[in-house]
This record gives sequence, C-alpha cells and structure tokens, in this order.
Amino acid sequence: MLYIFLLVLIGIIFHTWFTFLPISAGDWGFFYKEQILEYFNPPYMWETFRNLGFGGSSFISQGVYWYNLLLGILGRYFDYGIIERIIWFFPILLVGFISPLILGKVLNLFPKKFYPIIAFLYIVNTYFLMIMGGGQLTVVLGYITIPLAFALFISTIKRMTFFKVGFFSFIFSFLFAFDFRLTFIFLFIIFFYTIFSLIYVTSVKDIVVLGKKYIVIFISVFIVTIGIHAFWILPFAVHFYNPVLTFDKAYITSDAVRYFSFAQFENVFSLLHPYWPENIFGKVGFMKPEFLLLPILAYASLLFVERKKEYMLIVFFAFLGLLGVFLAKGANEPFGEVYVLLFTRIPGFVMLRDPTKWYVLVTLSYSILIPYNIYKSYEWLKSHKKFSIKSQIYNSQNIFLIFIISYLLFLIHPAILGELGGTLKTIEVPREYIDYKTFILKDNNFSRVLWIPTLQRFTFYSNTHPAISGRDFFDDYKQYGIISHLQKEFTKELLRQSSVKYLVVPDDTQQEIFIKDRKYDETQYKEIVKKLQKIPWLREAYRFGNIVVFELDNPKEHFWTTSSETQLNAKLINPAEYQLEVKNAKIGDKIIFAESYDGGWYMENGIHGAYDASYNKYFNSFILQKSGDYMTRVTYKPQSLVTLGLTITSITFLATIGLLGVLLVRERKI
Amino acid sequence: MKIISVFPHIDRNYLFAIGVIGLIIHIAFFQSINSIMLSLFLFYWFLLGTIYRLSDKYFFGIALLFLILSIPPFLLGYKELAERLSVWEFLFLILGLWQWFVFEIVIPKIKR
Repeated sequence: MLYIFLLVLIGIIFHTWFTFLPISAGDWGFFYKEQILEYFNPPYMWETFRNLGFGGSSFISQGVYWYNLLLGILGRYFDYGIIERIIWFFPILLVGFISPLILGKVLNLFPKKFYPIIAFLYIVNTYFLMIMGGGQLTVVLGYITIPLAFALFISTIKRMTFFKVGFFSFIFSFLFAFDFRLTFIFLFIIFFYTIFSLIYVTSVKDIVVLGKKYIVIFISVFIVTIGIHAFWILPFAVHFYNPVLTFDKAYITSDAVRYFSFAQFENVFSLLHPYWPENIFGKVGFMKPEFLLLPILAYASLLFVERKKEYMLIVFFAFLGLLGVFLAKGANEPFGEVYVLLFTRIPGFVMLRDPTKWYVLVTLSYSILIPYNIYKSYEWLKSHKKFSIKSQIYNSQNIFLIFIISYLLFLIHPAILGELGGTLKTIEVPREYIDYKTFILKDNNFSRVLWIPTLQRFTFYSNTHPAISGRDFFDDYKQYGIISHLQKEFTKELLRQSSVKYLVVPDDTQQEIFIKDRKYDETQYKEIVKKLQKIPWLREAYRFGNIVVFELDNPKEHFWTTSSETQLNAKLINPAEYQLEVKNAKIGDKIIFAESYDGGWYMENGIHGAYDASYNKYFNSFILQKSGDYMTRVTYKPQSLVTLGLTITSITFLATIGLLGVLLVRERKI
Repeated sequence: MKIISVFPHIDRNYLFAIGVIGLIIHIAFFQSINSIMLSLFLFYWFLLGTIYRLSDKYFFGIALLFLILSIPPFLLGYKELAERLSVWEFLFLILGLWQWFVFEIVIPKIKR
C-alpha cells in the first residue's frame, strides 16, 4: 500500500517529467540539436567553452563523458526534451526510489512494509527537491547513488563475496564520475561506519579479518575506479596541476565558506533547506517550526531502541545525522569556526565551500531513524491493549501511520501543489534565440561573442563561436559596470585581440539577468542598449526580437601574428588540435593563439610562451623556428594520451561487467 | 584529581541544580550563541555525566525535551530563544552519544 502511495506521490510532484517538453533551470542548461551532436565525439581534454569562452582543460570535468556521449548518440534521433528524460530524469526517479529501499533491506532494522518511508524521506525532502529544482543534476546523481553504494558496502563487509566486492567497486566508480564532493562525503560515511564497526570487535583475530576485508575492497575499488576513469586520469596525471590553484581566491578562502554558509543550525537540524520553497540563491527563508517535529521523530528512536545488535546501527545513524547537522551549517554558530578550520586545514574540504552538501548525511540519517521510530511506535500501539481496536484497518497503529504520513506530506505541500519551479517546470525556447542561432551558424569564420551583461539560458555557442560573459570577462558585477569598461578606448583593442566580433544584449525571457531586488527590471536592459549605441566603435548590426547584436570591425582571427608579412590560415580539426597554414614566415615571428594560456599546447616548429592581453587574459604564443610557406599543427599534448586511456577504460569496463556476470552466475549456482 | 575525588561526595542534586540553573540562564538571558559559554556548560554536564555515570538515554531524554520546548518560541517568533534551545538539544544528543560510547563500549571492554 505504501509503495503505491509513494509512486502516486512521485507522479504528482514530478508530473512535468512525464511530458516531453524541454526542461532547463538553474544550473541545468539547455542544448540545441547542433550542440548535442558535438558530444558524439571522443573526450577532448580541451574545451572551447571553458574559461569564459577562452577555452580550458577539462580533465576533471570528464567524469560525465559517458553521459555526454549518450547525449550525442541519442541527439541524432530525439529532441532534447526526450533525451533529458531518458538519460537523466527517469533514471533519477528509478534509482532514487530503489536505492534507499536496498539500504533498508541490507540494514534489516524493520519489516519491509516500512521501506517506502525510507525512499519517501530520502527523495521527497526539501533538500532533494531544492537541488533537483536548482538543476544540480550531478549532485542529484551522486545523492541517489550514496544509499546504494553504502548498502553494497555494508553487505560486502557483512558477508564478503567477489561479486559484492566487484559490484561495490563498479557503483563507486559511478559515484566518482558524478561528483567528487559527494564521493568525499561518502568516504566520510564509510570512515565513521568503520569506526563504529570496530567498537563491536572483540578480538584481535576479528580485527585482522575485518582489516583483510577492507584491504580487498579498497584495492578492488582503486583498480576499477582508476581503470574506468583512465581516459582522463592518465592525461591528467601526465599533465598534472593542482586544480585548487586554478580557482579564484574568492572560492577557496574562509570568507567564501562564511558567505556560502546559508543554512542556520535549526534549518539543518530540521532537514529544512534554507531556500525552501522559492529556491532563490541567497534568499534564506524563515524558519518553519513545523519541521522541528522531524528531528524529534528521528532522535526519539534513541529512546526506543533496545540494546541489541541494532543499537549500534541506530546510534551510528544518529551520530551521522548530528555530524551532518554540524557540518552543513558551515561557519554558523555554534562552533562555526570549526568548519572554517576544517575547510582551511583538511585536504578535500576545499571542495565543500558550500556546506549544504553535508545535508546528505542528515537526509541519510533521518531516512533510517524516522522509519525505525515509526515502526517501533506502530508495534507499541499494536501490542498495548489499552490502545487496541479490533478493526484490521481502522486501528490506532494505522491512524498513527496516517497521521505521520499526513504530516510528512504537509511539510512538502508546495511540491504537491505544483508551486515549485526550476526543473519541475517545462520551458519553451523563445523564437528570437532560434533566429539568433540560425544567424550565427551562417558565419563560418571563428569569432567570439561577448554577451552584455551575461549569457542567457538559450544562448547558442559552438567551437566556432564561443560565448563570453561580459560580467566575468571584465570581472565587474555592478549594474552598468561593463559599460564603463567598454567606454574605454583600449577595450576595443582587447576585444579585437580576443577575436570578439559580436557584442550581444540578450532578451531576458527567463527573467534571470536584469534583476533588481530579486525582480525583473526592464529599464536595465533598455539602459544597456542605449549606452552601447553611444559607443563609437560599435555598430548595431542585427536585431532578433529584443536580442540586439552589435558588431566590432576587424577582429583578429583565432590565430594571428604580430608580423605584417606573415599570413595564417587556421583550420579546426577538433578543440584540441588545429591545422595551421603559414605563409611568408620568418624565423622569430610571433604567432598568437587566442585561447587561454596552458603549458600543454604545442606547435611543430614553434616555441611556446604566453601573451599578455591585459585584464588577466593570457593567450598562447609561439615563436616560429622555421621560415617560408608550410603546414603545421597546433595540438594540446595531453590529448595524445586519451586513446591509450580510452583503451584501458574500455577493457576495465568490459572486464568488470563480464566478471560480474560470471561471478553472479557462479554464486547463484552455489 | 582532588576535586574529582571529592566530587561524588557532594549531594548530586545540588550539582544538577547548578547545571540546570546555568542552562536556564544561558537560554533565557544570553542574546547570542556564544561558543565559549557553550563549551563551559557542556564541559560541566560532561563532568556530571561521567562522574555519576548517567545513562545515555537520560541525556537523549533531556535533548528531546529541549527540542519540544523549542517549538513554541519558534511559533511565537522568539527565534533566538528557540535557536538556543535547539542548540542545547543538539549538544545533549552529543553528550548522550558520548555516555553510550564510554559506559556501553569502552568501560565494558576494559573490564573484559
């Protein structure tokens, strides 16, 4: 009965997912067919859209390559709206539903008729709905994988078989692919589970047995994960750099943690996401006291639990919840400085400048503790004659269950009533953006497009026309700050050197850009257009609805030279490789490659260096070592290891699948 | 060491009364959640729990009491008061876990 109820509830909350209209909101972007088809390619370690449209290495973003490849394959046959559902939304619902049930089964703390409450609490809570609504799909994928991975881990520790070890390693490699931060959190869970397991170990022999199990599991996890991710780990290892050093200081300082600590103690404790239900970044809602019943329901289980084997598990989940509460509130009181200290001192914490990711521990904890408490209360009501009513259906324990379920439904009523936005609403692509795409696709020469003040959700970009956000380019986030930069004469030269041909003011159809006091303000749009029209070196060239396109004369090509005699003709082979035709070259001529500087770029017959284009933009430059007319290649060196990496990945993937199949058959026979 | 050795001879009701009065003062009169103040009270209750070997369920019970008490202030708009109550709920849960760890796990293991 509870299973049907939960499925109906999911159907109501996520009803928009059962249509085929596109969905795009928050961090979840929109892709045109032309962009989707680009994903039907090998993984490129250099991507042109990174670094604000100036290109950047993409090693650590390649975890989702297989998803993107699938996107590219399906893109040949289906529209984006359909693909989204096949690849992301339906699997999220399916795994999100099953994964907590498996954890419930492995823990075996209460009868299976209570398992749906685990799934209910895990995927229909304010945290999940907010990250889902905000379009943080990789976080969502990691989130729904954690109960499954944890269940497999516990099961493997309880009774180790080769199949279980292999399957856990396989699932772990997926978690690693989805999100490093959630992998880090998962390892945290494992670490504390290990400590709790050790508490009950009574002899040295048991410690040795447990230690052996851990060694086997971690060796397997290491081999499978490294093997499956070899296609990016191998190039990354050879071209190693510390990714933290590439982050802006604003993201890795203790001030960033304080800024991102939106959740107050009472929010986390009550499993209430601070943005619930509006989901507007930075807008923390009032505390809703009705949520305070959740921790009472969760921690009251500590009073009911008997001192048997299950006690350890209940205490473990209670501890996990308390740890999650403490970490997810970040730098807020009480003892807020502890999180800042962890952030600055403990390796890995730097990934968690947004402490709300630790909500995962709280949801996991409450998803076990609350059903356990419900079960115990249910049994207590059933066994006490004082409360017993003879009816099979209308009895005190069922009334209690209905009361609890009604309460849980009340907590998420904005979701049931369809008041949540984000990815729970479908969208329609505005006509003017399709017209703009058609226009830009006709221009086959490389040039960048600067969006003033920033890109819009439906902005079309490609390898031939990368899009740049004006705000990020000038590092100015004031209302008309970009305009003052554009009014300076030297900006024209900077844009020309950056191969910027078009400056575009978007039509803010989604009301996400021109915002004043969290409301759409059209005067900002009009003012920007007016101010741009007054800049003498800009020419208004096209209009698509309210999208205004300005043109800049004589922008430089993607490859250009400081020599007046040398002629260049570049051809894009792929984002990590260019063919360059050089004419009338002299030794010592300087060629500028207008992509973000990276030591991995290499040119035959050229010495690599950096070119300072001001505003902290450094391009690649090459000093020619050969004169005359010739063809040469400019390549991103780490890309050469991708083929070897892909081979290792394919072998590991297929071998793991094959081995798991054989082991499963053999174990079933036994 | 001397203080601890004489501690159990004092009527424990007095010591608990001091602890409760301290909590009431902190919850009712302090405007902010001060980490140093919290640490002092927490340490005091930690000592009481350890010396008198209070059951973990005793602390869990107090914790839930605090949580229930925090609901009316939230409903009536006394946010700071409610926050302090829920913080103490959290800390008493931690104390309960500590009691469990020491008296259910560590000491029986040492005895064995």
